[in-house]
Amino acid sequence: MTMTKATKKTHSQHIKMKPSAVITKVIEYVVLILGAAMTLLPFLYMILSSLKTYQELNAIPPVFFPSIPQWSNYVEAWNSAPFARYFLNTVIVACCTTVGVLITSTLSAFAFSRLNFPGKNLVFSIFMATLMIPGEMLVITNYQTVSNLGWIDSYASMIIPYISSVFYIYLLSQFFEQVPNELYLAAKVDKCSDFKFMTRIMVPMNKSCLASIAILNFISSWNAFLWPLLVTNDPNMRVLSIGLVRFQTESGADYQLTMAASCMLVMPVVILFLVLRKYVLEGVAFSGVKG
Amino acid sequence: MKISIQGLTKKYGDFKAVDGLTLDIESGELVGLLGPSGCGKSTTLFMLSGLTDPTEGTILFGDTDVTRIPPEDREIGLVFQNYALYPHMSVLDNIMFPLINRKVPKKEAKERAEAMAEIVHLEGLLSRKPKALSGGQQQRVAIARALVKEPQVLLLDEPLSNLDAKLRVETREEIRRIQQEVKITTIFVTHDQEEAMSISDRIAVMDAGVLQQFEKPQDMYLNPVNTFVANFLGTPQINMFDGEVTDKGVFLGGNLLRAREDFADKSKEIPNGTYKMGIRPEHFELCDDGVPATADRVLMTGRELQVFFTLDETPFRLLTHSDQRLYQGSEFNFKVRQSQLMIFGEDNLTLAKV
Repeated sequence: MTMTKATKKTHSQHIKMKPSAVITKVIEYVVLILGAAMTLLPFLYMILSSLKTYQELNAIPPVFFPSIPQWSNYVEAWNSAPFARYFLNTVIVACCTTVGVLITSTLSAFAFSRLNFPGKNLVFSIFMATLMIPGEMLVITNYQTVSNLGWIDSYASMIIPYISSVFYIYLLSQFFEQVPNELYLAAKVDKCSDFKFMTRIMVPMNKSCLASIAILNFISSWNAFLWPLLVTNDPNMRVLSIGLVRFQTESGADYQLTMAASCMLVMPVVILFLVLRKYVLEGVAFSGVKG
Repeated sequence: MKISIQGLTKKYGDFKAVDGLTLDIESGELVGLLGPSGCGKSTTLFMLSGLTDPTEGTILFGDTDVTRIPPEDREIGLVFQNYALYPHMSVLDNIMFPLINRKVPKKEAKERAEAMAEIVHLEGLLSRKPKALSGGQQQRVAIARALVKEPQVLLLDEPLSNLDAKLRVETREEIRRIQQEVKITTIFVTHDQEEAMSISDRIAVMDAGVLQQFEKPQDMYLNPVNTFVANFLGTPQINMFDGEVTDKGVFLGGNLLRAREDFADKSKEIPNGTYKMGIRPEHFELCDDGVPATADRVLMTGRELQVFFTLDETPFRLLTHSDQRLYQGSEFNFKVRQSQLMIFGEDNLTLAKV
């Protein structure tokens, strides 16, 4: 009984705040709510518009909520262009680049953070220097390379140039460096090879970082537009983002259909994020080592 | 497994981290490598493990020269200061890890890991992750992981310095118990002289990369070879001062600390002159007819009383039983217990105890 009384007391003490503190809190919340609304409103408007009729969408004054949700918009949009094909292409490209990025980042981050080889710092510096080059500049040289290889209109042209990322290598090697060297030495004494140490210790210990890399890379690959546009001409090789733009020009003023298609484009990424959120937000577990 | 270290040297550029270390360690012995930070004790341990290559010298395990053998083939167990447990693995998986790497069948590995967990008293915690354990328990996991592959030598790098004071005492006794139970030759590094003295069979004291003395704890404490060892061992620290030896005996200022006729036999030939001298705080005796002194400060620590006093402008500290009624400003007389006055000669080496 005394225990509960005591806890109640501390609780009520917590709730009582100075008036100035209350005002600060209110301002904080208002700013945050405004920020959230500004980010979410266009998104919400897109979803709502995708469920409106043509008349509702073009009504003046504008209508915010559709009177009857027009789910048929989705069916119509899906059927009026080969979205299934676009979807498949996008999934193939996004998955392959993500797997590629994960493998190349892990291998090179491990090499840079744990192994000693001649010229390591020089190579790392050169890697870092490439971060300074704007992506648009690489487009021209990459296009030349890809077209010389005869890869135009192939998956390879969209996948191979993006299977490694210097930024993710840098990010991951920073995480790897935080793993105490004693773990590496202990594993060495325990007859653990470098490769096994990487796969059995480093990768599981940094799975949240790898999950972040996976999801970020998947999203950027999913949303990629300029490069796929340059290297594909064949409608069969189109990815969703290009398909959507083509669809918009073809479907003309039927914005409710464009919105429905946009929703379909965005949904997989949103779902992926919700699934992986746990890993992305999960802190990195270094607690096996005190200090 | 007997360990023989011969002329072991490690240079980093011009800096000698370890300089010509020679040590013979008996099978089943627990040896403490003791010294201040930067004395080369950890470097020595890592050279024994094979993780650091020596510049010169050889290391023998039994009759085998292991100097050029890589760590994984040396049959050693190594425990790090920060335990270095794999945080994403359960306690059982951590202990099994060395066996799995050695291609021991999973079933057998599990049985051996469980048996080892029992020895270090970790039963019931096997499915937990390291972060769910206390520091002492984590330390025991690390020891179990080091011992499960049945190594010939166990090496511990400052195994207790990450634990709080109470746990440190418990865990050091635990290390001693496990070591006795497994009967493994063990070397551990520490900068804590009390820790080293309490559990070691023998202690090797190092300073600036050089071995100072290798001895049983008690012998080392009572007969330090030089001022460094005398200063390093013992809390409170030994009292050091510059005294004078004359025909009459040992003097500090005008105070006769030891008459020449009372010298222990072998030390009677000390030539007259000024020497560095040392007296341990517990080797003073209060008496009626000794050297007079006044207490500057008195510290009551329960079991004993620490009395601070000044003699010829040199500060001293003595330890006596707490039933003595001494207060700040109290006047008392003392003498130094027979053959407990250390006299140091050239190069700070111990010359005699009178």
